[in-house]
Amino acid sequence: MDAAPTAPGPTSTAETGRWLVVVDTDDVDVRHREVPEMLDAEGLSVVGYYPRLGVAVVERDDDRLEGLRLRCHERRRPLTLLPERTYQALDRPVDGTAAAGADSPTNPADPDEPAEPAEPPFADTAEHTWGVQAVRAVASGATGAGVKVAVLDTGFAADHPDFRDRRVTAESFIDDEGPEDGHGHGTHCIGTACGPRAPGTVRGYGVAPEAEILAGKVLGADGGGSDASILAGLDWALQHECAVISMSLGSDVREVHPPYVAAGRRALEQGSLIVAAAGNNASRSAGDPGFVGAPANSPSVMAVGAIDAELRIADFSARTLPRRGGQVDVAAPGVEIFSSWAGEQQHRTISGTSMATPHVAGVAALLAESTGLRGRALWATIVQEAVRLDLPSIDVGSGLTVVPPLERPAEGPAEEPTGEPTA
Amino acid sequence: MLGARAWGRPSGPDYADPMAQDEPTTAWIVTVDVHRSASLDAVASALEDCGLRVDRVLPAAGVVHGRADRDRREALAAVDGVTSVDPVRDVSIAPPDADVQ
Repeated sequence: MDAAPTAPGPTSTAETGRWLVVVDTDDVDVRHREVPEMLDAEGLSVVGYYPRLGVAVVERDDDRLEGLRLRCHERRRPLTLLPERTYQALDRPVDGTAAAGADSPTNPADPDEPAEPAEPPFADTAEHTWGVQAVRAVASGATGAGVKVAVLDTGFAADHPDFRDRRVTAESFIDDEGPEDGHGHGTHCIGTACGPRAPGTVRGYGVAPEAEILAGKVLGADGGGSDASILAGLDWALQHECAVISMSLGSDVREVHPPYVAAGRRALEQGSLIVAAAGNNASRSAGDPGFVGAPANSPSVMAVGAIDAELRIADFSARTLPRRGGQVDVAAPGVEIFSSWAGEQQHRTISGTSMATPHVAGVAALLAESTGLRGRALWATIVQEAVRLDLPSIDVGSGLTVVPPLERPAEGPAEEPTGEPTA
Repeated sequence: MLGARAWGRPSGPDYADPMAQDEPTTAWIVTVDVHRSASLDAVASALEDCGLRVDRVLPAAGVVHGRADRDRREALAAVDGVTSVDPVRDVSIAPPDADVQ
């Protein structure tokens, strides 16, 4: 454990009287050149500045800090000002009252923060499916706009009324069949990942409603396909530079299949993330936890397990296969999922890791939009943001996939400035 | 016939091994190390010389798909740049009326 840096205060929450200036930007030039210049120009007394972090410690001077705030606001630099605190080594029991009480209410790390409107048990409402609520899609402020999502499945019902104004690229990799969905499964998965959040006639069921849809038909109307069709679809999705590729399919074989390992690697290198269903081969109530099959058991493919509206593992959801890459990476809503369906029926409620997978694809699209991250960085962010569950990681990986709430950049003062404008 | 591959062969009641079929040729997925080989087309051409009838070259995935006699597997695997040669598997999902998909 690290000792406290400078710890005159008696408690872990003591303030030192100095302030932290945080400019959270990946712009190296801003951190290394512009920020120190601004601190100097305002005449702030700088105790220390750390350009790799974009963090300065300054002596408190309200007028000068306000000047800095205005300057950053003008230049649209993401500034946060915080009182510096002292910390202690965590080698004794944590003082619960101090820890919980003194934390900033906007600190996203605060587990007690009531930021999320919905808590389990979830339920479909008139507005949204439980899945859309559970992954916190609406609160994210993101829609997937500008992000291409490929769903490799049974095709897509392009005439579905809920998708009237959507941009959809469809292609068939099944001999003698067009890209239309002769099954329903593909249209259901596309609905969950990229469907509408307010279709009008029914509750919203799409996680990323403004993502660009690429529907690759790799399974025929009979639900059957092969490595040949799937890999052809993967190649097509990669050529279209899809940030997210969703595959609600697999075979119940334990062996890792080399072409998917390679394709997953190529995808990550090219800034694409492949998510795949862990599999429905478990029968947990009968004592059989199942195993993650191919292609989800490839180390370069993200495997998705299914949980229900009470955040319990689904009876059918496959458990981690004990070998490299065989783990369940993350979990998502996969029990009684309402979404679009092909044909006159238009909508249907079904279950499966197939339904969980497009929830993660949608989350990935939202994160890709809001963070700009792709490939391995996007993978890491999905895992990092997942809400940990009180369930074995071999069943749910890092937990329930969610999108963090919209970050409002800390730009400018809360009240209108009254000071002189700085040129 | 199967060879001692590190990744083993799929097995189990759900898996229909394409190599067990009586057809004279088998559909193969050839995985190529795209970083080690000059070009995927060159590898595909070398595979053709080894008896693979190429159906598709998938440049973004780094995979070649084609058909060849079952006994050509070792020869195909020995082509420079090839990391593995696997029989094409069938994949299927549950029928439309199933509750769990």
